[in-house]
Amino acid sequence: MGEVIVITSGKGGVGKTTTTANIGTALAMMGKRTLLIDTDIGLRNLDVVMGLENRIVYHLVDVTEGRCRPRQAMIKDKKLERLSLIPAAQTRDKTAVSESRMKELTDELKEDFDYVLIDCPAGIEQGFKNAVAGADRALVVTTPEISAVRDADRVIGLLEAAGLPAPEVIVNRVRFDMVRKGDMMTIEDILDILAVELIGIVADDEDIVISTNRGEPIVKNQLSTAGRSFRDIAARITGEDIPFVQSGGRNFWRRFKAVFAR
Amino acid sequence: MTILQRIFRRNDPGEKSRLAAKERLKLVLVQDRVNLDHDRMEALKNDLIDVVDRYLDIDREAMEVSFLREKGSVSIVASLPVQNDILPAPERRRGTA
Repeated sequence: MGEVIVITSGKGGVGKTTTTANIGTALAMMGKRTLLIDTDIGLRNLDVVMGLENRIVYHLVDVTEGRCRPRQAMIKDKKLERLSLIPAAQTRDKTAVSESRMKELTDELKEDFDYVLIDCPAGIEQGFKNAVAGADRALVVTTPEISAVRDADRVIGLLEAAGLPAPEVIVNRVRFDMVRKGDMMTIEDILDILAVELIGIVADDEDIVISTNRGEPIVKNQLSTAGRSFRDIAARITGEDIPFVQSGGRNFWRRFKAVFAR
Repeated sequence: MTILQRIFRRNDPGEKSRLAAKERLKLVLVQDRVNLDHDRMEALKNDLIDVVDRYLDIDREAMEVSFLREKGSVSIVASLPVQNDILPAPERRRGTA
């Protein structure tokens, strides 16, 4: 029996979808049977980040409303045999799915997968409640900005109130050059404020923009520091003890060294 | 200010903006976590002081009240510096005896 993990943040634009795509891809690269579900109904994007947008036949609401079986809505990844996606509906809204229906669905799906990752919409309304309904575990994505950390704090409170185990936080888009100058909150500052466990640190990396342009998750790029960070998170999810690295991002020398390190 | 200084100056040379962010965030989260607006927060602080003040002199300027969130519950942490002089009181008593 697998684990259902919701990836959430409260604030929009902090990298939930990119995080879901990359952690999911990394888990599948580790040989885990992985299913991604986009619950951002009306604003679907996980399909384009994964490069699977041309293969959609059925979507999540078709499944929950019984127009197709879950298997029919699953799109297989282009290369990774063990990775599938159920896309969100684009022409409906968040009220098209209910919490109870989502829980039934994820309970059923986790029988067949090692990991079911749920990409949660921004906000704390119905879409959030649906995404969280069937989750066994929650990852909260934030960035080192006041607005993102504030919203993360709110979401952590809601997740705890919903009875989930203590959420784990991913600090995304860290600019280590700014942290060194004292112009960006440190990882320790953020953990101190949120009082939760850390599961990943991801540097702000322009390679993410490039890989998203191509619809290829960055974890497949062995030279990218962000790609490595997401692979580390996937390994931690499976229970491996991987040390945290506080460096990376826009650094020529780091890229230079990475090329020759392999 | 020279042109070079303008180019290289930080927003506020005296204080790192990271610390400003952290302090502002802490304050705003106090209100978020307990769903108390600023006025009710001040009222709570004043009531807290008034109770303690019946027994001890409190430094009203230096007191701090914060809210900590821990695993589904919120606790109030108040730091109320006491201004009473510890020694003089018994001496005063002795003096009048």
